[in-house]
Amino acid sequence: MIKDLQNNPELIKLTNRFVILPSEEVSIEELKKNMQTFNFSNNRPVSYNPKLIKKILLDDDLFNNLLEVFKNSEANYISPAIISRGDLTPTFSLTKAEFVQIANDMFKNGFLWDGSNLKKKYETINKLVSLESLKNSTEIFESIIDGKQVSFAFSELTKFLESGFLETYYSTNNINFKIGELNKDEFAYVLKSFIEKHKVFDRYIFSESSTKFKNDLETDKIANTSHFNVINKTEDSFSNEVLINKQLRDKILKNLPKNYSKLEQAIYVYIKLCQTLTYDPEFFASNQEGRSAFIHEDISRISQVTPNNPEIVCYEFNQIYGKFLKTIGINYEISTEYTNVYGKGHANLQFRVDDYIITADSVTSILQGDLFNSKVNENIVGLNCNNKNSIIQQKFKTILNNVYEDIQQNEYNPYIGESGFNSWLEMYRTLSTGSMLVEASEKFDILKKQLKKLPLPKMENFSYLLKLSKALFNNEFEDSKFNVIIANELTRLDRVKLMPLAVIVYNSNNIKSNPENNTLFTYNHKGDFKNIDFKTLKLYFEAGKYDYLKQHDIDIPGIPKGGAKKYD
Amino acid sequence: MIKKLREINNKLILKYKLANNNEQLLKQRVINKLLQNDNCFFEMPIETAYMILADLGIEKNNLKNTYLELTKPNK
Repeated sequence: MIKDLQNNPELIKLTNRFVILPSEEVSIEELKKNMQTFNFSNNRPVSYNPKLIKKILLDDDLFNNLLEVFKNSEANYISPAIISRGDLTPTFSLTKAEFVQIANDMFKNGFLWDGSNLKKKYETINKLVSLESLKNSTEIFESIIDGKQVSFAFSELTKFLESGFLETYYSTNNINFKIGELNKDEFAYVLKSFIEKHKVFDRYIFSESSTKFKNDLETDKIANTSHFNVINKTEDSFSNEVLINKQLRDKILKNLPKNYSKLEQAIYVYIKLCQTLTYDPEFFASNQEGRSAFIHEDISRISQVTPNNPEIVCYEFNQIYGKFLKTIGINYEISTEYTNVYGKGHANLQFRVDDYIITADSVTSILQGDLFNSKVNENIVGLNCNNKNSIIQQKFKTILNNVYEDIQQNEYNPYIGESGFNSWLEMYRTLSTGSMLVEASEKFDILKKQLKKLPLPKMENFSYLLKLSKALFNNEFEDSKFNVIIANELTRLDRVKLMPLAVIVYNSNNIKSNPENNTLFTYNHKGDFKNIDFKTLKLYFEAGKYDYLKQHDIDIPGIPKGGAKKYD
Repeated sequence: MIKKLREINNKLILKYKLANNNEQLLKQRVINKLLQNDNCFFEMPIETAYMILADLGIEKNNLKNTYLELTKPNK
């Protein structure tokens, strides 16, 4: 090896990070052939070469190199490496603790014999990874938790990691556990930080139960630490430029329950915003480019977003939502995909309330995100709890579901039920370009065909006539070009009696301006649909053959009420 | 007849999803909502009904007959 380093002197400084192997004695191909896997019970499986470990332990020069790496407090790994073409090629990599644990296992299984020199080497490396050095350390670990400075001795934390955790974190009795000022979650955060910063589980051998505890800590299985030191203040450089329209603010907050917690308020506002706002269809249809994109890059546009002008895109939604969160007293941050420039790229919003870290994305998918889901009472998918702890996640889901149910049960949803249909119809019209012209003649033809031989009872025929007329002549009704008036007809069937009669009035201009020029039809109880001229109709009304119903409120143009004589 | 339109609509939704045609997909999804109402064609102007039928692929010369079928009193 000395020869290798003499030939590559710049690599000498790396002997405190790598165990450098003599290239004439070891080949990479040979090493790869003899690799094995060691399975730690609570840890990742690792690859190693037992022959190489044996060589390192037996050879005094290599062992001294190994000790150099062990004593380097900045090196956490034992990486045997071969010099090849002037550079180092690592073979495998084990933490210091793993290396010693594997060596111990090899020794126990007789792979290495117990020579006195070897025994002394074992004792030496085991001492280097023993917890005693940590427990006897006088070093202090300092940490900050949401602005609160805390400090603990290495020895105290080590003792806790060795055995103190059992009662505190795995016992169901100790709910009010405190160490100093810290509760369980806060202290768990300190432990995690200590483990991470000083890599104590890489450098020292802990018991299996301690390692399991470390793993449970890291995954937040036994404590909730995801929220500490996260979003302690709002990060939004555009917030001061955002103005929320008063109408929008009033609509969103009008029915906000007064007893809601901050988290509930945040969820409530999110859902209400999703129900009220809508994605700009032009921006969507133009693939978020061009004129529409240009319009949305102007942040001042947000002040014009109202319940009646509800079209937005993702970053506008986030700015609006962020403003509401600020009002509630919740810190948040907004990040964009590729850049911090407003109006470029998809934006995500994350906020913190108490122990919860939540992401809000109303446009997880433009067509299947919450801007749509909230309107049709489908599941909310854009509000997600980022805490790793499963109990916190479940609590959040429960709160979200409760707030959503409150809204569904207590508040009017214009998109559900009869009025919901109208909202969808309006949306369809917004999406459709152009229009379809249907001539009046075609409409009357349809009406005649449908009224012919109706299978319904008499009154229902008239109901059907009104219903179909409204669909056929909807525009004409609104423009005073069409109307249907239900009157009565004096008939002589088995006896003289009154029966319903519908009078249909149409004029391509206006039915009121020149009644004598109106196109008129009657539809009677026998199902006869017939043309009638104005003079004849007027005569029948004057003669009493036809008459208005008592409860009628609209006159047939040109035929006022009260002109009937007795008809015999 | 409306069941047939719903089938057509579902097929179009799948078609536009696969083709990544977001504009038409959105329209078909809205039509999907409208068609959930059995009486939807009574609750919109005939002009809108014809547009929807055209969007569902009904030929222009077939619109009237389709509409007659959809607005029959006993379906």
